[in-house]
Amino acid sequence: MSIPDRLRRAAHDIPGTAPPDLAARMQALVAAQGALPRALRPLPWSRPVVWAAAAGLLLAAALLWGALAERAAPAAAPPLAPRALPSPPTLDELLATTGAPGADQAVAGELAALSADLAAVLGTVRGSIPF
Amino acid sequence: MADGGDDRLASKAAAGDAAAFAALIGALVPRLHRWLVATGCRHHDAEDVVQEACLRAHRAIGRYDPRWAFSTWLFTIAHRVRLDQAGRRREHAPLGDLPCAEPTDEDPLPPGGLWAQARAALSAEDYRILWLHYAEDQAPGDCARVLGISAIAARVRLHRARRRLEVVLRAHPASVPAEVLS
Repeated sequence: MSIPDRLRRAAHDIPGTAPPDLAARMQALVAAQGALPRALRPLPWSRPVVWAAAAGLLLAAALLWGALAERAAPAAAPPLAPRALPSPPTLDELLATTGAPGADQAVAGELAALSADLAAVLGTVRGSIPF
Repeated sequence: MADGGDDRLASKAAAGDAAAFAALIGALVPRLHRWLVATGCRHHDAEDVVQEACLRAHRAIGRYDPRWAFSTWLFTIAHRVRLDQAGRRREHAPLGDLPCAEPTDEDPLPPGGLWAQARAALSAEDYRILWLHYAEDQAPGDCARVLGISAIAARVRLHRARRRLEVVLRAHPASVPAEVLS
């Protein structure tokens, strides 16, 4: 006889331990608890179908929520109008807006000095040419 | 898998038939009590566990799945009740594992018998699953469900328990008939 068979046989020889009235007491106890709650009726669809339907509902709810959130958001600010770049000031404008006292005279003097320098250079160049 | 004669009663109970539920309780309470006492519970503790398991089963019958044996379901509830009970006691005095493998003064196992030797040789977990499988005729998958472990772990524990018991019995051949070791 193998050990499993002997274990089974030995288990049959072990006496019961419950008091004789325990089963009746437990039956009375559960009877006193009232009616048994009914089992929930199982869904008539297979589990993958239920999961797929749940996922679809979740996706639809997310899309709906996104659409509602977009509608409820405040109107976006209008795009900025293109702004023309300011044109650079002319030399006259610059000279006119320097604002320093005697600036016109100083510039005229510098121009005269430059003209004299230029004439001297031209004279030197002409003198150096042999023909 | 449901018990052969009990599956119809279990289905009726799941549908709300109080008489079927009472009949199942009446048939299973003595087995449940014996399992608890044989694995170390004192009688009054075993009665408390049985009572709480019956009440929980009554409350949760709507969630019972008739694909499983009602006995497996009730034993599972009882095991959890017992774990809860041990957890509450552990808050006051650390005990380690469930106090299941210790013989008590109300021990139903014959001294020197095979089950007493098994209890002395095996860990509490291995002894408990050995009892469920060989004394309660629970399939390894059902044992796994009762104890909250995987089916593979249940098979491994059963195999380990048998091997360990075999080694112990070989070491003490005087207490074992020769055909057991052959």
